Amino acid sequence: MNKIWLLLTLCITFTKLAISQNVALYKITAGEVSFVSEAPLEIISAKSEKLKGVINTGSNTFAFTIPVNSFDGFNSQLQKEHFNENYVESERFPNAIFKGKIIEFVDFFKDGVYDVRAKGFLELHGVRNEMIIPCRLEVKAEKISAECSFEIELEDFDIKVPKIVNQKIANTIAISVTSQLKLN
Amino acid sequence: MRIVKGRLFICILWLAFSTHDVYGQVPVFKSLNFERYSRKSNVQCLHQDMQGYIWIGSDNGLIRYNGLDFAKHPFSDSISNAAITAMWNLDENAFLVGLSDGRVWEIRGSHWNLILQPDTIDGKYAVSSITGNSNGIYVTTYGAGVYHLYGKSFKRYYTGNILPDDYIYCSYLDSSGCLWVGSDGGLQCLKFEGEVSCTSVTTRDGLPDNIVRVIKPRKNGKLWLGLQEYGITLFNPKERSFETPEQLKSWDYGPVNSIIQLDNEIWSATPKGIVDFEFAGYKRLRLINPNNNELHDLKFQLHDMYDNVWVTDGHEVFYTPGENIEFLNFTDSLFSGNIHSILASFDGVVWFSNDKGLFSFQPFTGMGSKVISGPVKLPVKKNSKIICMYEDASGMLWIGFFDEGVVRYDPVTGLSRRFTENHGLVNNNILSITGNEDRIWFATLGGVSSCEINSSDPFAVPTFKNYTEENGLGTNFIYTVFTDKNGKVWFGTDGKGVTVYDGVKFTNFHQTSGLKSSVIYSITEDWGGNIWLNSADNGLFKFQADSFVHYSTIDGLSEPTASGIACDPNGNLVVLHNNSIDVIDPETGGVNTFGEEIGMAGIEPDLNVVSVDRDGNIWIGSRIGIVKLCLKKSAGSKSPKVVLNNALVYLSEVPGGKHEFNSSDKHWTFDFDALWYINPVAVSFQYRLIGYDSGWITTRDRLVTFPNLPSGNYEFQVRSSNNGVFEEREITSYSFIIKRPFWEQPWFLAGFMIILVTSFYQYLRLRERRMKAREDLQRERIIAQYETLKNQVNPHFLFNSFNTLITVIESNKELAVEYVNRLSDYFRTLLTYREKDVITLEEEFELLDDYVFLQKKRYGDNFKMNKDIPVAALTGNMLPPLSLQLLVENALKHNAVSKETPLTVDIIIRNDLLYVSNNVNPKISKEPSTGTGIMNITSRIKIMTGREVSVVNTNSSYTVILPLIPIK
Repeated sequence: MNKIWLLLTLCITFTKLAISQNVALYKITAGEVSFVSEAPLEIISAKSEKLKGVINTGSNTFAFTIPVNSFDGFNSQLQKEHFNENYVESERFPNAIFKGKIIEFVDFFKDGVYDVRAKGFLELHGVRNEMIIPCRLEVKAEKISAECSFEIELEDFDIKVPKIVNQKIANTIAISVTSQLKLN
Repeated sequence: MRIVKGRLFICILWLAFSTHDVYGQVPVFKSLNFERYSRKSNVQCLHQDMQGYIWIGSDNGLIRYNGLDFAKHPFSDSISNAAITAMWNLDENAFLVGLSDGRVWEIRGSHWNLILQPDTIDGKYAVSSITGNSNGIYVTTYGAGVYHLYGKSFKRYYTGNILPDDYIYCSYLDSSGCLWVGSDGGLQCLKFEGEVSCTSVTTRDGLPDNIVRVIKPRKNGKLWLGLQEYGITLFNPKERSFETPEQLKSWDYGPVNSIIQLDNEIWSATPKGIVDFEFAGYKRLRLINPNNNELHDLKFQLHDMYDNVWVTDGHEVFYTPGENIEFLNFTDSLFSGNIHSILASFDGVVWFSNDKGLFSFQPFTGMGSKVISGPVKLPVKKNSKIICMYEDASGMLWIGFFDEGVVRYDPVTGLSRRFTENHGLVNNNILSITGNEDRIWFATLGGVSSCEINSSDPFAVPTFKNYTEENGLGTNFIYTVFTDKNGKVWFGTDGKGVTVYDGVKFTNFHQTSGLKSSVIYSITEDWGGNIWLNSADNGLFKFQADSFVHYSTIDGLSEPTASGIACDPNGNLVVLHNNSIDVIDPETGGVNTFGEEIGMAGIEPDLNVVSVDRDGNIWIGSRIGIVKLCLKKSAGSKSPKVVLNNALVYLSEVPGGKHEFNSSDKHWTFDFDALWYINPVAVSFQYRLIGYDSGWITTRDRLVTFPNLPSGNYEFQVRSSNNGVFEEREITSYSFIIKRPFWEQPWFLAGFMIILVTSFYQYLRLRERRMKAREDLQRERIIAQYETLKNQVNPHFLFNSFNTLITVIESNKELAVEYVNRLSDYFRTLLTYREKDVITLEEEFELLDDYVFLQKKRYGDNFKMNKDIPVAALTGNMLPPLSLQLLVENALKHNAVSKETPLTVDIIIRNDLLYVSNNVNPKISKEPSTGTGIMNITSRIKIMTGREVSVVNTNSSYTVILPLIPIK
């Protein structure tokens, strides 16, 4: 797990080295990602609390990652195995990563609620897609709580669902993220 | 009270009117069928080069479109993995393409070369835009900032130096040299003069959205910005202020992918279609979904140099002509069937009538759909047919019916009143109504009526003044009436041409006046004050200086019959046909046709169902709905631009700028094109090769070959036409020279003559010299023969020989016999050889041996001759006959030969020289010597070999050196 931290920190510090003089890193203390697939015949939802990530308020950049196999809460154990083996192939592509920048200006020194857009690359199932995700940041006493919800198309991430089960698995998956970050 | 009641009634009536949704009024979009050509290509961008070709940049290469075909550019294989994401014109013949891997190539004809290899190490970033000026080329990227290319080097500006964000969507270079770029971090202005600087405009400065995807300059220096989420806004760079038109403030069409600016509108390509905002005038907004609502997610638009607009959704490419053509297609069956009359009123409302009655609508309102009001309740019998409408100066409508007279209608109050024959109208069948300030004219099937407008009481019965054949009208069947600027009233008749009323009298023009058609359907007046007549079946006539100029299919009209003509405020003359609409430029006579390819098939408009509004829109009622045209100035004079692509010699491309060719370059092919996207198949060409054939040759081919051109100066000319009329069309040409072969070049001919004359002269001289030599030789030989003969029959020689013989006879009989044999041998060979110029050395020595034998018998051992001659030299060399004999004879003659002073003659050959030497013991009594013998030999050898005979005379020896004549 330390490895991931190192990786994330390196990612952010090196890509934005130029403005690294005012690096201020917020690190996730608690984070949760959940998704819902609302297919006509079945609703599947799962969540994971293994979200790790940092926000660099100096450069307005961020990087979040989560092990794909950490999701739980499927309707059955079999379903979870299916999810990991057939769909997201978590052995080949263990982590989902979202890394990018915050478009809007946020004054992290001032408490308040900010509606922002996070633009970056979402990597899932080995496919990188550029996405703009609306998020709400609440800054309060050197802590940030971030909430985002968005939808992805399975097709965009090359996740193939056999026709026979497409009544049970939706093509569009709704994802929501909540996290608490603290100044490092 | 009565009026109030009436108004109330009208109001109730208005409320009772049903409103009808019609299908959206949309510009005509034509699909290029690109999807069929290139399966699964992702179109990234569209571009037009300076010649006018359309280029489609995709992830499957670069494709050129000429209106007819697609052609894949033979681009480097190395880019096959990259998509083409941006293009920019460098000059007349070259453009740059930017790739998804960040590289930029220059494309010049079929050649391409790499001009930017990006220096990023952490990945490849696609090119988002390219622009440039004299300071260099600017390449923006999605993720790697901006490259500034100058000369052979480049510099990158990114977050590592001055940019706030590396993700750049677009760029625009303004006239002050500021490069505006739209990024994820707002709008930046980069200045490259001196120290490169960057100033940023962001949400803190009032920018609605930090993601700026599109920058489009407006003519007044302001910039339209297309945003990710908040639509479009107008930025004023001077004041650094933003202004978002009210209509655009609530934007829910998604990110703006491209913006183009037309005359009064801007079109934004969005995931929901084209958002069309009319920024001038009414400031109206509408959504256009090309291709009957099927095309939504629009990625890119191109506004080309001909004002055409090209749109792509990433898979298919659509085209709409620059002349704004829109169709109002009805979905309600209420509007099926022909429209009988149309009127665009001063207040912007369009009125039209069909079998179901009179309707009206406000154009360009709502998002994509119209609301049509009607039918209007009018005081006529049910199913009465409205044939014509006119709006008078007070804003009241005059509605002409078939068989029901005329109704005056107030659109504001809804009040109306009908006037018929009972009120003094000449006839109840009204075919046309017109008027000027205060007077209305009605054309009917029974003559014409006219009345004054009563503005104080609009519904009072007017006093009709009637005119018929008896007053001088050509006939009582009048199709149309028209008042010109000078106040003259023109009547188009059925069978008697046209009649003009100048306020005093009627004048008829028909066949005898040069008007070759007797049925006139409609009349209009162009800007130049010329009256145009539309005949039933024979095209148009222009009345100009008291005569009629015929205008027909030969002059470019698409069909000989027309059902209406009109002039718009831009000076265009519009002619309505059954399957097309012609636009004539009255000044030049140029004609442009909007035909079937643009959706005009089967429009079949009724007579004179055309009306022009004050904005210049032409409204046409047809069988398939309402057509709106908005034409640019001189729209009729537009013609296809000819592009002479290539001159090919033996089918290989001629390098640019080359105009001189060798005589062997005889096979020529010219490849040309005309870019006429609105109707490419209508284009024909005329070409000629000046210097080869003088006449124009008409063709539809886009390739012409001359297989065997002789040497000469040529100019290939080509022009094109969209309507078969070629006069006045712009000519594109290429001049070239095929040089004459070198043997026809003047320098060669002159040189050749000089060489010829010189060599002839040389030959003559040589011949002369040779003849002279031969003469000399002849003479010498004669002298030699004479000398020899003289010598040989020298009595001394004989006397001495006989004396020797006598002494021998006594002592040695056999020797005597041999002596005599030798003597006779000697004389025989002498006789044989004396005629010859030369004899071999062998023969000479035979002769000499005989002579020496004879002499030896006389001198005994006191005379000796030594020979050192290689055998090969004997047969290989020649001498004039008797040369050696003469020399030996001389030696005997001039020297004392005795026991004390023996004479030895040595003959040796060294190289090609023959040395004859003897020791010298001069006689005390010298024998007379003529010296002719040695001189004779000398000159004969000189003539034959060109070499001198030399004599070396010392006190002890005398040597003669003879050059030998080798046998060749």
